[in-house]
Amino acid sequence: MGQINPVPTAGPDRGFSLMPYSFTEIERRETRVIHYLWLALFFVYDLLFFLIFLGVQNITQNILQYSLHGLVFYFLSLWHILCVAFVSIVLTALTCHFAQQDPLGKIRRIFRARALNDSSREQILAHIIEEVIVACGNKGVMEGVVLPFSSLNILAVSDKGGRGLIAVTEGALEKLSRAQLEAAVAHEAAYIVSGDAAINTTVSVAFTVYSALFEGMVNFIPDLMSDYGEGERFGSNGHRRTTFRGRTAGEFGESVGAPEEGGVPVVPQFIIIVVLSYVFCVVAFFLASIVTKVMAMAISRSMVRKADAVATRMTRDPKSLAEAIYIMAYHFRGSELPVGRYFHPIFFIHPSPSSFDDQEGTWAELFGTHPPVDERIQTLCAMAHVDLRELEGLVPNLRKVVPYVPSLEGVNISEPSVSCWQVLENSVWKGPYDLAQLKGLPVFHPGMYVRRDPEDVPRKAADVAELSAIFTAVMLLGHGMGLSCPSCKRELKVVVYEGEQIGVCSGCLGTLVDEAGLRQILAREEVVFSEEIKVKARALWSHSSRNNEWRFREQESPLGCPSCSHDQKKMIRRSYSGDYPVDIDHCNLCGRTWFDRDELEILQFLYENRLR
Amino acid sequence: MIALWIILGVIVLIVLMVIGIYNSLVQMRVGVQNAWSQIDVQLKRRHDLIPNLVETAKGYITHERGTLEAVIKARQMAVDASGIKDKLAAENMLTSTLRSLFAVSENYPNLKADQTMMRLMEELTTTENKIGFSRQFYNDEVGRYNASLQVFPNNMIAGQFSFKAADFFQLEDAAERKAPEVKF
Repeated sequence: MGQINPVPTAGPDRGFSLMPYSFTEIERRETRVIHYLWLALFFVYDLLFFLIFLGVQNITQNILQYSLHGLVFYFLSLWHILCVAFVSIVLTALTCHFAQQDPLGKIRRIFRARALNDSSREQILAHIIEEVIVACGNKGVMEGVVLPFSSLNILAVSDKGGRGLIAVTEGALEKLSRAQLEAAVAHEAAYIVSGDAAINTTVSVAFTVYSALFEGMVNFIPDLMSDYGEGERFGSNGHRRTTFRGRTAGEFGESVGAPEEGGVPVVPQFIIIVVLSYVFCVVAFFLASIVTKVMAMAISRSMVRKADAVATRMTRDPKSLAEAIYIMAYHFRGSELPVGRYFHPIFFIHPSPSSFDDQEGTWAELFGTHPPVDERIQTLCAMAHVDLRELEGLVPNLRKVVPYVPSLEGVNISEPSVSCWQVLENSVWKGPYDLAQLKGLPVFHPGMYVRRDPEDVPRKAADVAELSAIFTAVMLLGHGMGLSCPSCKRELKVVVYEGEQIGVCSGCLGTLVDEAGLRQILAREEVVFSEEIKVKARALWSHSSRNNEWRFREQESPLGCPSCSHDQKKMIRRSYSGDYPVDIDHCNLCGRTWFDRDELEILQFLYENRLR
Repeated sequence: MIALWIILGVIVLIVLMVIGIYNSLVQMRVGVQNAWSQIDVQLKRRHDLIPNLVETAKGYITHERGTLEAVIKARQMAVDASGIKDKLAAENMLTSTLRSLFAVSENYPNLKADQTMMRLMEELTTTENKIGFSRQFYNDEVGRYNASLQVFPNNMIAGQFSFKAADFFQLEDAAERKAPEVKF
């Protein structure tokens, strides 16, 4: 875990300690910086295009006419300048256009986002978003969605119409308090309302053209798809590749068309021109990509600083924002997120912990998508007049303390229990109920008051050990799932496990979990594991870390998928991942996973404790 | 002749400047009014929530009925109030009576456990936050507007066309700044 430096005393030793601590000043300054950089970026982008064209032109002309004139610098004719300007403007417009194509839908698809449901914590998120819209003066339309990942991060995108999408990961929903979530959401809203999100989308796409061209030239038949996370990204690879080919074809055409005058054999000249142009282009595109990248990253960093300042103006709660950044930065940010590097700027904090934004210094100043985490926290703490050390206690306390939760094994599916619980419903005590009846009550929830008998002190259900287990981890819904166990063929019972409905076999205690459910179960840390599970998990972990080749295996499973017609379609038996070598049976058709007894909890234990 | 043109030019320039400043002041004033109406929307929402809240609480609170009546009275006053100054006083009154209601309800665990009450409390929390945010937004707008009334040459035009400084929506004391905290 990172250590935060204590509050810097005013002095030149740390550059950013001299930063103005007023959010309005920061906002004004960064807005100015963003506008200048944005204009400069467009200018430089077109200028570079022009220069590269000029370079190619000079190479071609000099080779063709060396025998006539010797080495001469050819400036472009007016006609050429107009052509180049036209092409570069069209290219810019096209990339901007493609960048703006339904960014909301793309984010939803790539991150498998889902709309908010009726559960109380997601309703709170909905309320928070409404509040933040009020704080912006009712500007902007924003929608909240949940990303099914256990990492802690938030992102925002907006489209041309100004509609915004604020996506919060399961992990962040779980671990941030209301105030912290509000501050982080305000940061993202600031991003949308100020129009920076739209600018950033364009910046991150339009100005990666040079690096894409460079990559395209280096790997002549580029497999761009594999480079960009899960393949999809803003803009269109197809579009960029066509541009590249079109341009190269143009060069070829030009060089083939001219060579008659020189009287030198056509073929060698042609090859020299191609080779030299090619080398020149590779170098030029590389340099151009660095220049534009440096500028785009500077814009991205300014936007983050500005959004922090605007969020503070909106909520007047810099401390919570600092806490949110701290918790996200020093917890798990989520290398599991399916992100290509083009997505990094839209996140609240950079999704991979080792990148530049954690560091300070020249490289980070040039290439970081976000300002250093420490700088952001220190600025906010200074605004809030809070000592940084107060934040350091935040992370170890993150894990929720749940008094007692049985493992899945402990769920007794048919146990008759004593009817002793009364519940308070609409100001009347009802009951007595036994545990199973209690679980079946539609109104039963953790904040509900219960008592054992009329003399007992009313307590919240969540405060009673036996009952809290029901909510936090395992709740038996009793009805069957309509599917049968792949190994012992009994009907699976529906159980609510960490808020997700999963199927449990009462015979072999195996569990069937669907894909989204598994992600959420791994995201939440509500179950407390029994000693047996811990021992088993540690044994598995130490075994697998000794045997490297053992880590990932895959073969056909003897079990058929319970939902996609038994026995005909076999599942795949494989390790959950190379990092977490728990054997699972996975159906590639419906995405469901079958865990034998204890396997789900072992996987959770390894995952939550990052044993890999 | 040239002097005439110059004078004419200067006059045209001044007229254009006056029009520009006048329009920007009007826009800011509209912004302030808009921001105020946003607070009004949220305050109305709070007024609508309170009868339900009191109704639910009535079933549980047996001893300190006075608190409930005070809330109802304060709400009525807030609904009836007109003009920013009166409204301010009434709303501050309502906030303090609500706070005492929350304090009283601490003694009634059954009340706190009630489903309807919990939902109402979350609604009230978010409404209180929205009131806070819209008030802050209003104050920011008022601050911008008032500042622009005082700078030269806006102050001359503002005086001529009777633009008046807007009132801030202030709370009586710093301790009041915290919205009633709903804790379970």
